[in-house]
Amino acid sequence: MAFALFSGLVSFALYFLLQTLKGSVVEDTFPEIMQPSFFSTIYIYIHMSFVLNTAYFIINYDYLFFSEIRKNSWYLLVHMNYNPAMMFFAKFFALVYSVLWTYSVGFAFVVLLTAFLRYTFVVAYIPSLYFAGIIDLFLISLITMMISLYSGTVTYARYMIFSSAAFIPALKQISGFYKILANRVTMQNVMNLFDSGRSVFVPFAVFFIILSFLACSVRARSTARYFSSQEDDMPFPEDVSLLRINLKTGRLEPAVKGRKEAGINKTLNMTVSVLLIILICALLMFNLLVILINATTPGSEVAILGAIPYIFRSETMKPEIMPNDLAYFKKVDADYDIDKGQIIIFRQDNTIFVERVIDDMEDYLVVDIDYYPSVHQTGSMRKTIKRELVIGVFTGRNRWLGALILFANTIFGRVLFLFIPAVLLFYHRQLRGLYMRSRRTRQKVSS
Amino acid sequence: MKSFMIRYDQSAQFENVVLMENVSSCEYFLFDDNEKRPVLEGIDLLVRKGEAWGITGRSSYEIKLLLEIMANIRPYEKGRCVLIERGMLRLKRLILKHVFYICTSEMLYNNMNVLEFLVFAMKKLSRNTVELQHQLFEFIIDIGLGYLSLTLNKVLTKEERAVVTLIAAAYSDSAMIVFNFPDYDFNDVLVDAISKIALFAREKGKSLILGTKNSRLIEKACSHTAVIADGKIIFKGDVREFCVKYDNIAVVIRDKNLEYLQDMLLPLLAGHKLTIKDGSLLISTEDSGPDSPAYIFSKISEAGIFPEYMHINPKTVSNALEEIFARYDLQKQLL
Repeated sequence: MAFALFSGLVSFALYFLLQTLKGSVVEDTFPEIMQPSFFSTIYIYIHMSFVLNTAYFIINYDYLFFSEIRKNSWYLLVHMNYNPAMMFFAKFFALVYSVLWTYSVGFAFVVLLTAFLRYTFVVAYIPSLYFAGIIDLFLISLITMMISLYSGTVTYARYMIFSSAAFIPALKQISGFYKILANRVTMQNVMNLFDSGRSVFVPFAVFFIILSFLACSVRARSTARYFSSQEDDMPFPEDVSLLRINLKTGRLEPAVKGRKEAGINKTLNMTVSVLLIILICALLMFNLLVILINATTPGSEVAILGAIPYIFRSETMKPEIMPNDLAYFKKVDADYDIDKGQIIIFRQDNTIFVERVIDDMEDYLVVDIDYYPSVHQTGSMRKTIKRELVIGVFTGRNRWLGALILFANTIFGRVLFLFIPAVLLFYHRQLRGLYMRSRRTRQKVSS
Repeated sequence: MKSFMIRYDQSAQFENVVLMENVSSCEYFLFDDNEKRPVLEGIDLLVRKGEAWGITGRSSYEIKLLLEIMANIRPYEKGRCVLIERGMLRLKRLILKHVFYICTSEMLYNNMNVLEFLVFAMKKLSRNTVELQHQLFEFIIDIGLGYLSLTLNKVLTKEERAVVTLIAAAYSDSAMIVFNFPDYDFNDVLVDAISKIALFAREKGKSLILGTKNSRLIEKACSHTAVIADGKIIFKGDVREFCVKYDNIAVVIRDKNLEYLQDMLLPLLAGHKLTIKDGSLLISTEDSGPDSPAYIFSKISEAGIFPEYMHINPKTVSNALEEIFARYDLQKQLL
């Protein structure tokens, strides 16, 4: 219940957070998450629910799924006349029930919270959104179950769950499912989800779920028939190596596979740690860039490698430069040769303007904006400026970087890009120490 | 459940639970000088119904492997191994109804307490759960683990968890329980508990095989013992017989001036070995017959020496093990 409410609240909070990116490329690319409607809040919820459930599965992998069979947790019960097939079904349905319950409660909670915003309630797309979300959850649950029955180590299993979770959205994108999901009209008929002519994702997911269920039931039963012997647990002398006769070939082969796996695990963990450090540093660098860009004011333009980055806030240069785009201007001096048609950045009366050069008159330039709203007469903003006022010439733009900077300037963005990386960078040893201490305490208790 | 496990006919009469003849393992140790030897070689062992065996040795790996072969977990290269007079299955690791193999303390569910878990595990064996719970509670108290009965499994030590699993095994239908924890450090309370569980299991006609390096556990819980050294069994038989044969310490003396006493007694007790160990003077004799302590006492009193504390050595597995390994090492050096 708590998890369901938490998922709902997080989704709702994310909806409000995304509202801060209104007018940016995010709104143009993903209008379905920015609209003032039930569709957007629920759309965000079904994705957040997937992410949070996956994280929950990864963290609680050990006891939620079937890795316990490999730990021989079923061995004792099988000896006590428990039927492994029944145990499999009991565990499977318990998991399905809990996923369904938490998802449904969270879904209802989001609908309730959205109702307070007084958006128009459209019943037609609610069932489709509900099904779209539950299919994702069933899919990742079944994949995780499969992984728990086939994967030898917990570490591998966790990486595999993460990779599968990343693969599902990719599959949806490739199969064109997002086009259906993001469209409020097609989502008004739940059967459109199952229409393989539009996208094969749902038929494929349903087929995969059924197949995985059958595979899991067979595998669980066969795994439960055997005692799982853990090679690594064997107290092995250090000064000798162990060989084992391969009964099929009659040859002696090195016996301990576990050490090789441990080596791979170590490499894998190290790679992830290095990637995390790179990510943290990248986030901090990005934040530095944001601070520099924000420092661009009339009279103190910040140039990075000869380019002035500038967050463009208005619609006046549409479609060449959209609102909230990050535009780059090449820093120029008064002698720079400016051509007609170029977009320039100039300073006039201590205000920065970005306009297009219409005419070139030696020491003067005629400039104008590209886009006039319908209420304004075209050409009304045209003006003549001195060439020496020009600071830079437009060289390009990045819409996503602009949106990211917009986000970075919000409180949550500051926390995500500055506070967390800074804490991780400067206090990672202390945090690691705390983690190791709690881990040691747990190990001490269990030993 | 009809075809799930390989079952044995419970009504069938059998006497031999494990019979191993000249068994050698598939595993080999490869030493630095490129020399290799089988981890286990030429193992002969017979475990009868109702016996409790303590398999011990210096290498935990050897102990563990022997018990794994016995429990049909691992194949063996040569020899013959028969379980419950039915032979050994080709399919390794297959769960056999007549063998309850415990080598991990991970079999319990962490979200339950001890009593709750045991009742849950045994629910299928009894129709009356209330009565079962009552019985189990009484049993846990009887074996001295009453204080653990309502403790969550997740806060138990690995040794305690292993003992809880053993309780379940003792109640199961299996004819043979293999308890394979050579490296676990069982405290006195748990050793007492295991000895009581072993007694309970033996009364039910089960055989118990403990893989352990804990001499006290062998002493208290086992009727028989087998000692492995360098992959071979160097002793197998009754625990008492083992102690009598190898524990040559006749008398133990404690005093403030042990060195002085040793110097005084050395000429008096010719043919005896006097050693100081752990704050005690140990008087050993090659001939550890019943007269030996009386002879030593008389010699000491005749000399007018009255140590602070003196008692007849009760013959322990620990001493016997020490002696058997010392003799084995000596023999190896001579060869």
